[in-house]
Amino acid sequence: MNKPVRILLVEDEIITAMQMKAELQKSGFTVLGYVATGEKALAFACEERPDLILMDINLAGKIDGIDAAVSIQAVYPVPVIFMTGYEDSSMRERAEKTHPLQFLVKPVLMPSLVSIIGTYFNTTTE
Amino acid sequence: MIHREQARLATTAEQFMAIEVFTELLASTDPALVGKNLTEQLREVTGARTVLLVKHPERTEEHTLIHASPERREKLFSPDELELLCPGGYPGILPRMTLEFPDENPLKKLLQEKGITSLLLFPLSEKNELIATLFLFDLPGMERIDETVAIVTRLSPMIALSLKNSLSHERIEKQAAELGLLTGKLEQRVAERTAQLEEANAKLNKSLREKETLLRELYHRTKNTLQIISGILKLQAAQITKNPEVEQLVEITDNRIQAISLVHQMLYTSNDLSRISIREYIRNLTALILQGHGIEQDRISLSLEIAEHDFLLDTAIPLGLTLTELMTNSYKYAFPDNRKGKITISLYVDTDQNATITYSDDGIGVAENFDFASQPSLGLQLIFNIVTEQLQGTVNFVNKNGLTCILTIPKTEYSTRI
Repeated sequence: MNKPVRILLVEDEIITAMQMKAELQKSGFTVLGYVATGEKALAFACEERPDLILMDINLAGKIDGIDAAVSIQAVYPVPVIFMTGYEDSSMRERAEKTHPLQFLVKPVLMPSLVSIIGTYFNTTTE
Repeated sequence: MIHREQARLATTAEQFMAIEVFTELLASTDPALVGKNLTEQLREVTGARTVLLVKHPERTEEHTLIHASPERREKLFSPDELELLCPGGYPGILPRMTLEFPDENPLKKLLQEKGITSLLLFPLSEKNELIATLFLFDLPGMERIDETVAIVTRLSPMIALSLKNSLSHERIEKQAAELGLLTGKLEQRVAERTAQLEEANAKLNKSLREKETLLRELYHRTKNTLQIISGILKLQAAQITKNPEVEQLVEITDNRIQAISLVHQMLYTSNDLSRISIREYIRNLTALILQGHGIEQDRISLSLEIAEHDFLLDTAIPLGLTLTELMTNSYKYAFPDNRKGKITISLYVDTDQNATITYSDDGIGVAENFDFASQPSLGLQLIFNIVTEQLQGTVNFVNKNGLTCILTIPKTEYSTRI
């Protein structure tokens, strides 16, 4: 059996983060933690080196999720799944530069998120 | 005797002409009129067949005829011929008689073609500036030619001055007219631009009003949607046989929904579509929770000391949810057995825009060494997570004379989105 995928959740709606954490853990993933700002995400990722980052784009704090992903990927290559309440083309273009695993528009459907993560890690680790 | 009589007549004629000419010259600021008077008077006095007054060019222009007397002779010379005729067009001093011109001088041929037998030419200068040239063609009786030369030579400085004045006047008038025209055009452009700006402004205002209407409508619908969710929840709960746990779950969940719904209700009636008054919000929210729990005010009273500040929607909602959890905890645990009590909430914002909210009840408190942060209760988890993670603030509980919770949150963590 594979080692559980370690996930960092970056989401500034804490109730959403708490609910997603519970669902992901129920599906067998390890949620290392959730943070609400890009700055905290960078610090957390550098310290814990999660296998995957679920990243909201509009965040509290000074930098958004895309900038946070760019900064983290400059430290180590990590797959990122972006989640956003609404998308526009310029946001999408910026996000594409980080080669995200997926770009999801909220509300995120947990079964499909679980499936995306499962497929990616099964195919890349086997 | 004859010579003296001639001299007297010449002097009289000269004086007469001088008076006539200068009266007319000084009376006019129009160079064309000055030219007309001058050439006509000179023609009459001297008997010349043709008199021309030609303006010296300024900068790169060509010589231009100011006036010809008689007027039918104004086309006597073409512009190119005028250039040849005027000073600068030929070398040296011209003889008075056409026949005396050297054959190689092109003027000789030109004058002969025009049937001109004699000419006098007077440059009119003012302070070494050549203003114009006066031509007298075909003078009768060459014996009077010296007399004519003397008269015109003596008059020429004054003629030049008058002419210069009238030309300057004409130029100023022309410039004034051009300026007037430019001013008119400028005013027209300003008027057109103003009209365009007003139109754009009107469109912008219309668009802004539409955006505001849309946002208010959106907030209104969000609030209504939350009320529908609340309704569904209560309806579903009513289907279940009386169960205190379910009732409590529904009540707590409904309080949370109402805390969010109230922000939207306040936003669509607010002047500012991003912010609400935190004082009004906390007053309305606490009253709602009080009603929701069905607790009479004389049992648990409420004291609010909230500074007047506008909070962004992004800060107001999580703060409202936190206060909802704190109040629910107080009602559930602080006042058992229908004890009477008091809840106090104060809020102030310091100069660094950090808000401090002190929530306290004078209930029974909690056990000593109670670790708030590690409790499994959703209410406490929400308080800690919302304040520390979402709002980037701090939470401190003080278990003394009841329970006090001190929250500090930066107001600047979020910026205006709309």
